[in-house]
Amino acid sequence: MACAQAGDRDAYRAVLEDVGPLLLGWLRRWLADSPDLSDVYQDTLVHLHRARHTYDPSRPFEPWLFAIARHCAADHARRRRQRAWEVLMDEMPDVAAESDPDRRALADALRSLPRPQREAFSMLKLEGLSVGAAAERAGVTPGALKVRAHRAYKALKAILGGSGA
Amino acid sequence: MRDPGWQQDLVERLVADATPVRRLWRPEARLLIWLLLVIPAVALPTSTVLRDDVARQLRRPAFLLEEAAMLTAAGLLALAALRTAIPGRRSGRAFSLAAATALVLGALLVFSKPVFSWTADAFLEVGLPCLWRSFAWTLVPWVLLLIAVRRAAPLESRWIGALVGAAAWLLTFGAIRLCCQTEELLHLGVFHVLPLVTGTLLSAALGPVLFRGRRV
Repeated sequence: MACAQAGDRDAYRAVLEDVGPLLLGWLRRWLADSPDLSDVYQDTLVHLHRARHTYDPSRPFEPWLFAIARHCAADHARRRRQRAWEVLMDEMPDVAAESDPDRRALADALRSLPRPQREAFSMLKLEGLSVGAAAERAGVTPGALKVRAHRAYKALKAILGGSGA
Repeated sequence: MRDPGWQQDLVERLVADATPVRRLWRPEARLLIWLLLVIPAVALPTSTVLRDDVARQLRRPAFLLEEAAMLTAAGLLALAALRTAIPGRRSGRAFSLAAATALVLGALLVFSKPVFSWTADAFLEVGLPCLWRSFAWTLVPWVLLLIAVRRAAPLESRWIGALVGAAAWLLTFGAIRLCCQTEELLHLGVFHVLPLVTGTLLSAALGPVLFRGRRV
């Protein structure tokens, strides 16, 4: 990588080809078998390219690479969750227009959840991720993610039960 | 995804664009440059409006400790910002503990001041110059640290924005305490600490905008 920073294109090609399998393996663990794996992989390589001046050859390469990959994957996951959330919320007003108070209450209840709980709920129920993949993406243990999801379900039940929905 | 054509195309495009890059200096060296630039920029206006009793205050251990704590925290947070802007670099636990200790010590010393009763006019008359100075004097350290951080690859833009804001405001906080004669809790809280907190939050909120195009 030090040679690549100096403009050695052959060395840079070797670096990019070498990191491919490493990066893919790492991203698969993060994203499971998401159809967006290729996009995140591509993003990571582009971002690695833009940030190549920040690599310090006296330090290990992997933490630098995986920090960029983690950021790209998290950014992608955030956008995806946002899209899923928007789709869900877009659907809710239509349902509300049909005067379905239960669905409207559900939408309000989801909005009122704390962010970690909403994200846990969103990853498990909207994106259909496994507990392991969702936990890795959220940067918590599977146990902690289950606790968040459980709290989300409990809060939804209390809110909806309390409102008579 | 078994190494399809697009993957090789991407590699070739990146290789074709692989011009030599100037490697970043170590964060510690960049911190030193920042300090060399901002200390004169803050010291110059400070020296023109020093408090009358500055010599006496500088002999008081509590005042010296407060100044040392705030300036140390400013330096450590600036270093943390420069480090965090490099992918894979984070400050260790001991470093974070040192920064937190300096901040808490400084805050305790500031909040141990007595409370006076003020009229609204007097409160504003004494406080507004401090508020104005806080904003004006922070501008140079904040902008220079932003530029330094943008040279790297700030991934966690909000967090880094907060670190940059806190470092710049703490440095100015220390400088303005050498000019402001009012050793009173309400004044310090409203016209010194509140701008520091607000500026830090504002810097954090602006992080994603300020680092747009530099974020990887």
